[in-house]
Amino acid sequence: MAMTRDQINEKVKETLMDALGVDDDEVTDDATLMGDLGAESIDFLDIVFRLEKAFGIKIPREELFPAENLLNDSAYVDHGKLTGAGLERLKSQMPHVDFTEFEKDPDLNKMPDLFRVNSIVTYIENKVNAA
Amino acid sequence: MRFILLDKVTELVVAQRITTVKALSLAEEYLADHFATFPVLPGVLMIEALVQSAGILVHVTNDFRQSIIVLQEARNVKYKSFVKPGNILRMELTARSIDEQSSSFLAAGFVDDRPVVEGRFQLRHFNLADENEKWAQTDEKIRQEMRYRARLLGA
Repeated sequence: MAMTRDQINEKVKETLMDALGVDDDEVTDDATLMGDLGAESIDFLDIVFRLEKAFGIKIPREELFPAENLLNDSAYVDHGKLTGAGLERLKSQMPHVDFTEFEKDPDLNKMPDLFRVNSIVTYIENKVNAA
Repeated sequence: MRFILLDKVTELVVAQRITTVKALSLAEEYLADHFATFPVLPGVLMIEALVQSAGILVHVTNDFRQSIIVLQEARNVKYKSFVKPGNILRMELTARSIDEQSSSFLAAGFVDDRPVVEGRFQLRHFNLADENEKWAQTDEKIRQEMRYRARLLGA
């Protein structure tokens, strides 16, 4: 079932509004899930579940929000930054995200900024239109 | 584990404002998995800490007349940065209103000057006896515990 990016955008926005209790005008393309929309760990599970229902697809949680697995493995984290291995793994799990800025200094404190509304839309677009 | 998520009241203006602090310690159980290599205070527990802080102001303002204070709604919550072991989370809450059965707060958390979290909360307060008279004794026990806790915290 092919969907246009606009259609996907609309549905993703609605899903985030429901999951996070935010208003339409807050869910901009560039909005970060944590900083702008107030999402935190417990919300990611809810978001994945709702997106699965909204789009009729299966979303392995570590594909959309791989950070949590990485952060529990000491091979991928050292002194508050991702190791080379950690960065490579994150990039392979999130091909829909632009890592140019983050790569320069893969500081864990800045990881939340990678999770923006438009990267979710891109992820869904890839999933839905690949089928 | 005890679930008291604030350590001290540093400022309290009845019916208006409260400032509290919470020191984050590696001894806190939930940090073991959140996350193993990067322990940080979970966002929901920042909210809990803020709500408990607001609760102290409500109790003092209403002279502990209601035993139970719960969060009814959290709006416009934003997480700006992390609280890590060794940090002291300073919570500043302003009451927009405190009535007998409900209250409304603006809340913000900081580590030094760094904003960590902000949000708006609606709280609800009541006694168990409101539902059923036979709970009146339990209310009284809870009230006593809350008075004791407020004293412990320096409120």
